[in-house]
Amino acid sequence: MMLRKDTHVEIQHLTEPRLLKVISLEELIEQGTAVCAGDVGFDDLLLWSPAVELQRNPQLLSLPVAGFLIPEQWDGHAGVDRLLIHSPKDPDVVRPGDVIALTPGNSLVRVLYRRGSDSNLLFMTDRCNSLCLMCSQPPKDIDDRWHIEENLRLIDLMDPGEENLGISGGEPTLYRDGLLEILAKCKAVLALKSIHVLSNGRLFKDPDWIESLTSIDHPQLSWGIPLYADNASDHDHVVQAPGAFSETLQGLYNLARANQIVEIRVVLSQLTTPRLPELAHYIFRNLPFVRHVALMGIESTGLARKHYEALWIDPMDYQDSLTQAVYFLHNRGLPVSLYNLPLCLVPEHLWRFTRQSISDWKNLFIDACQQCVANKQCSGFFKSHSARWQSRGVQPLSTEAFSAYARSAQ
Amino acid sequence: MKLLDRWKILLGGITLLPVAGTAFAQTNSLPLADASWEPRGNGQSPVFADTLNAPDAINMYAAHRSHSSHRSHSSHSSHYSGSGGYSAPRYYSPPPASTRSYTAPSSTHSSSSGSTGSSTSNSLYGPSGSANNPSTTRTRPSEAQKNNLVMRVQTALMVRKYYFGKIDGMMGKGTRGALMSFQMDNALTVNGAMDTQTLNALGIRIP
Repeated sequence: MMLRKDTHVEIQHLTEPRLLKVISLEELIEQGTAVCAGDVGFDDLLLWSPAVELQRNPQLLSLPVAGFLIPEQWDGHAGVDRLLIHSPKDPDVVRPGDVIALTPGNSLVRVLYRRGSDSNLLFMTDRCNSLCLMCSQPPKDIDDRWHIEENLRLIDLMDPGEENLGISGGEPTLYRDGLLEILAKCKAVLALKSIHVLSNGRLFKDPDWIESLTSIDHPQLSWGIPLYADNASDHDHVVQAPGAFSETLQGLYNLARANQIVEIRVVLSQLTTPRLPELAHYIFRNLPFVRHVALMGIESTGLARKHYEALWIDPMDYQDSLTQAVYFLHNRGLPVSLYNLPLCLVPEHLWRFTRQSISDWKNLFIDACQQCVANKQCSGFFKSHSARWQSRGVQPLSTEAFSAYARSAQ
Repeated sequence: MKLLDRWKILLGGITLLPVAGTAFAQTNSLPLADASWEPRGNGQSPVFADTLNAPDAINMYAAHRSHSSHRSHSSHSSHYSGSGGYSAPRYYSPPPASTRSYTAPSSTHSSSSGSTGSSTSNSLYGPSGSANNPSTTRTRPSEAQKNNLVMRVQTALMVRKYYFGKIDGMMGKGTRGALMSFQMDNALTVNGAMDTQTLNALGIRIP
C-alpha cells in the first residue's frame, strides 16, 4: 500500500529543470490543458504513453508537448530529439495526473502531486524557528525561497478537483509573503481543495497577520498548531525555544481574531503525556475557538531518534492519561482524534477516536500485522518504525476482539 | 405503571441495556431504500445522456475553419519556458534579516513584495489567460487556445486513423479533409468544422 514519491528512470534530452503534468492520450484528447487547474500550455505536459501506443501512432511524436513518458522497460529509439522518460524502476510511482519534477543529470523523478491522494503537500521550506526534540524533519539553515516559485507553479499543474492539500515545512510562516501568495492562489485556482497548514504559530503573534488572513478569506483553510503543555517551561523545552509558548498562544489568539479554523496538535511522548489531562483542560478553558484536537503518536525519525531516551514512552503506559484527556474534551463537545496510534495500542473504548492519519507514501504494516484483521481500519505504522520504538502491546487483533471496533465506531 | 415498576427500571441497569440494544439493532436493520430501488428487471445498466458537451454548449470554435495570420504554434507556451521549470533558487535574493518581505528580483516578475495576495492578477501567478479570465475566452479564443483545440482534434482523428499528418495545431486542408471523412462516417453534418456535435463524437470537451 505504501507508494514511494520518487523512482529512478532513464531520461533523454532533458536540458533544464522542469515541473511537468503527466497526461494520458485519452485525457489529452478529451480535456487538453484543462486537466490542470491553472494556466498551462502543451509544453507543460508529459504524454504518458506505452511503447505500443507510440509505435501505432508515430505522429504523436510531433505533438508539441514537453515530452513523452514510456511507463515500462524500453530499449528502443524514438528517432527524434524530444524529452523522453522511460524504464522506471518502479512503474507504479508515476501515473497520469501526477505532477513530477525533473532535474538534468539526475535520474530521480520526484512526484510532487499525486492524483487522488489525500497526502499531497506544498513543501514551503526546510527552515524553522523552533528545534523540537521529536522533529521528524530537522530544519536546515538555508535559503530555499525557490520553493515558493515551485509551489506557485505546482498549483497550476494540479488537478482542479476536490481534495485535501497540506502546506508544511519547516515553518511555512517564515516566508510570510510567499505563504500568503500561495494561499491566495489556492483560493483562486484550487477553489475545491481544502487546505491544511502546519505551523508552530509563533510568528502569528504579529497582529499584521490578522488583516492579511482576513483579506484572503479562504473558505476551506485550517491551521494545525502544536501545543505541548499547559505551561511555558514544558512547552518551551519540547520545542527548544525560549518564549515559544507565549508566542504560540498570542498567535493562536490572533488566528482566532482572523476567524481562522484552528486545530491543536499534540505529539505524545514521555515529555507530553504526564500532563495530558491538564493540557486538555487548558485547551478547553483558554482556547474555546479550537475546532479539533489531534493527539498524535510519535514518528520515530529525524531528531526523535537522537532523543530516544528523553521521548520514548510505551503507548501502553500512557493509556490512562490519554483516556482522561480524550473524554475530558469529547464530553465537552470538542472533537478529538488519535493519530498514528495502531488500534492494538489503544484501549477499545477509544477506538472510535483513532484515524488512519499516516500519509500514504510513508504508511506501512509490520510483520506482526500480517495476521491482524484490522488492517483496513488501523493507522498502521510509519515507514521509519523500528524495533526499539515498538510497543510491547503490538499484537494482531482477532475477529472477536475486532468486532468491538465495528460497534464502537457507531 | 406502578411506582415499584419504575424503581425496577431505574435501578435495573441490567434490564435497561438489552432494551437499548434492541432499539439500536432495529434502527440499523431498517431498509435504506424502498422497493423502487430494485435493479431494472432486464439486467441493463442505467442509461445516461452523453454529457461531454451539452447541446447548447458555447462553442466558439465551431466557425473556425482556417487560420489566417498564424503565429508559431509554440508561442503559446513561451510565457512559461524557463520560469515554469523546477529549479534551484533563481528568482530570489538571499533572505533578508527580517522575514517580513522578500525583494522580488529579476525582470521576469516585477511586482510581488508588499502584496498580501488578495488579487488574482498578481504577476507571479503567471500569464493571464483562461483560468483567470473566463470572460475573454467566451468571446474570442486566443490563437494558442485554437491551436490547442486543433491539436486535440488532430490527435483524436489520428487515433481513429483519419489523419496522418503532423500534429501542428493548424486547421489546414489535411485536417479539414480528415474531419469531413470522420463526419461522413459518423452521419454528422459534413462541414469540416469543429462544431459541438463533431467534438462530442471525437470525445473532446470544449475548453
